[in-house]
Amino acid sequence: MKFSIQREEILKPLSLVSGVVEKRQTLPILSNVLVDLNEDTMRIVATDLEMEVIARCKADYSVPGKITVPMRKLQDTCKTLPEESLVQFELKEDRAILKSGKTRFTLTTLPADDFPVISTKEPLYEFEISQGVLKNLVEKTSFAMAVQDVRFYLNGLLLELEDKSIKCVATDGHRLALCSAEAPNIHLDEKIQAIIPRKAVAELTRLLDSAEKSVKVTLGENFLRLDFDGLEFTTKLIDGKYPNYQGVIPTQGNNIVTAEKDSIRQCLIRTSILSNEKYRGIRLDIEQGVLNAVANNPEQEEAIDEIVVEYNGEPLTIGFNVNYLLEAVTAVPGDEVKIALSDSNGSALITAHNDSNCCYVVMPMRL
Amino acid sequence: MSVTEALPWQAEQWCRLAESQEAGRFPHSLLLTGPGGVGKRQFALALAHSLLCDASRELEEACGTCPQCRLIKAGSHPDLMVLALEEKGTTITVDSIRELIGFYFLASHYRGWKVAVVENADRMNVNAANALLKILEEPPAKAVIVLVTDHSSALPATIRSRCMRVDFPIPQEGLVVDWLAEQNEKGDIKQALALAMGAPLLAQEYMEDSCLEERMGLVNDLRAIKNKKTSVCNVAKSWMDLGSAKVLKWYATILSDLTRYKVSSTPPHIDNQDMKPVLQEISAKLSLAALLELYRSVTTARRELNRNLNEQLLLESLLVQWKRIR
Repeated sequence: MKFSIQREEILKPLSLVSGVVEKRQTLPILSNVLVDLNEDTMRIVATDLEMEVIARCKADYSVPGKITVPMRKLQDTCKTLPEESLVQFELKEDRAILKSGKTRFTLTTLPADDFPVISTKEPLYEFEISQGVLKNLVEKTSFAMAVQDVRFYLNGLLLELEDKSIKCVATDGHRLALCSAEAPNIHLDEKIQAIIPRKAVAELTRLLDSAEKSVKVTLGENFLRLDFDGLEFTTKLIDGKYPNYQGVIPTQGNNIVTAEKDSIRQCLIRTSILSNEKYRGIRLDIEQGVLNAVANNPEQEEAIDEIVVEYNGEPLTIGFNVNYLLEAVTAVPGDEVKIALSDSNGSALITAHNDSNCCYVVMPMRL
Repeated sequence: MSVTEALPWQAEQWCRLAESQEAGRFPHSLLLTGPGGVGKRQFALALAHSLLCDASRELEEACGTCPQCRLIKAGSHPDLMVLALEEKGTTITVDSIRELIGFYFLASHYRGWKVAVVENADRMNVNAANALLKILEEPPAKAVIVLVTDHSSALPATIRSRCMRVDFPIPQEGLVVDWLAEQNEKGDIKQALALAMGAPLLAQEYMEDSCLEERMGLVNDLRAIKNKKTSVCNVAKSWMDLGSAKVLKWYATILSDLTRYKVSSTPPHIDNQDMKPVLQEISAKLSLAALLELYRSVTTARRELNRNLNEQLLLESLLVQWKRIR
């Protein structure tokens, strides 16, 4: 195996995949990257057994082949070389030799066959979607995912595909976020569900661009793959069945509060300062045209804030976890927020004033 | 070579699992129990290997050449997780079990089985055991957890009751003697086997590590101390270099043999068959009460070895006690 490449050309794919390589690795081969040279296309693959990132670039090849080399060392050696210098890579026996000008590095290698690559055979469904739309869906819902819950299927984001529509759902059992978008490229008779693990969701938001560029999404039984230009991202899925979330979305909220998003946010932020640090409780007293937010803490301190809202129902008192309420209100698109309540024991449905694509459900708290 | 050929006394256990695999009711959690040194760990790994191998159907031996087998050999198979103690005396904490749960509920890399092996499962602390219980109760499809332990009674009953138990008793002596002879081990097979209490792999280890000679060395050291030819400090130092845990084990067998000579009117059965005359001679000079007391000190010391004691001091105190007894 032998090729030469410009320093910048190899540094770019290396920095793209470096996020996946963990610093503290128990398996030595996972701190390596797979360099796969096939004719003049080079693929650099990194994995942490949960996710896999493949970056492609061009190289002047003379002998094709594949091998794994230590990621950090390869990156650091290339980084310290002078700008725009040419790097020559050669495999001699089981050592990788990097030459540039009068500099020479010899790196250890491990065989390419020992490198675990996620099998992406047998895809279930493939479609194209704009990166901005997908990123928006993920960002508007992912905050509601559970953290280290024993109900392992909640520690991820549900991706649901239906005919001409795509949906993301996250819940931790106390609140739920649901966001859907039209996807004219999806043609399905039955819906498909996949749960993306938490770690991969974080990586996704990093990789996705908010622009209109499109991304190819491939869904398999055990994996999800995203194809960007020059980059492939694959993650394993959570092996489980997502609970029926439709059942928890309240439909009988007849008491509707409409408020300016910014004013209700500021009100919640102000009162949250004096709410109990552990339980984060806050009481909302709602009357005709007025919303009162009240918070107490164990030191008997109190915060009261009143804002003007649009409300025509019966007077109502209800308690919430202020953090859940705040995150939901912040995520709602537009300038106006609609909160639909049934009574003081029913959960709240939070949506935008005239847009039902994003909705958030927050369970009440008994105060 | 398959496990049943490599370790012939496990054929029955293997066949039983193969049958349940064929019938499509392979258990989702296994508990391999039995005394140390009978090859439970090897069995667990061979089982994992066979389940993951592309070529193996119905628990035949793993082919050793397919990509899956290559990854297993390299120790980087993503669908196999082996949880082992990092060093002796530590426990398996809830964090390791959480990691295992994460692995367990993620889709499999190659769409086949997912196998998790927990060695020394009895070393799980309460929190870890409770966390593990959660996944034993609702296991995903095509995933198996293999718990390996020498002391199954130390595991919570709730875990034991949720696993299929596979027992590995001490195999028949004849079978083991033949097997050890086949492994081309040089030395006194019967003696090693007696010391290992019949456990084949332990016996093999003793023979490979020339433990038999070391043990004779210990008896010589003990005699030298009695005859004032060497100091307690020197012996303690050399014993520590051999490894305190091992040395104390031999020390205990020697003391129990000495005691047996003391209490038995007819020639007793002793563990260190090859040192009969020497032991008998030493035994005659000592009192039963003193021997029993020293034996008790040694067993206590063996138990407490894991607790970060100064090993040299521990050995010295036991040797001083030996020097004093009459």
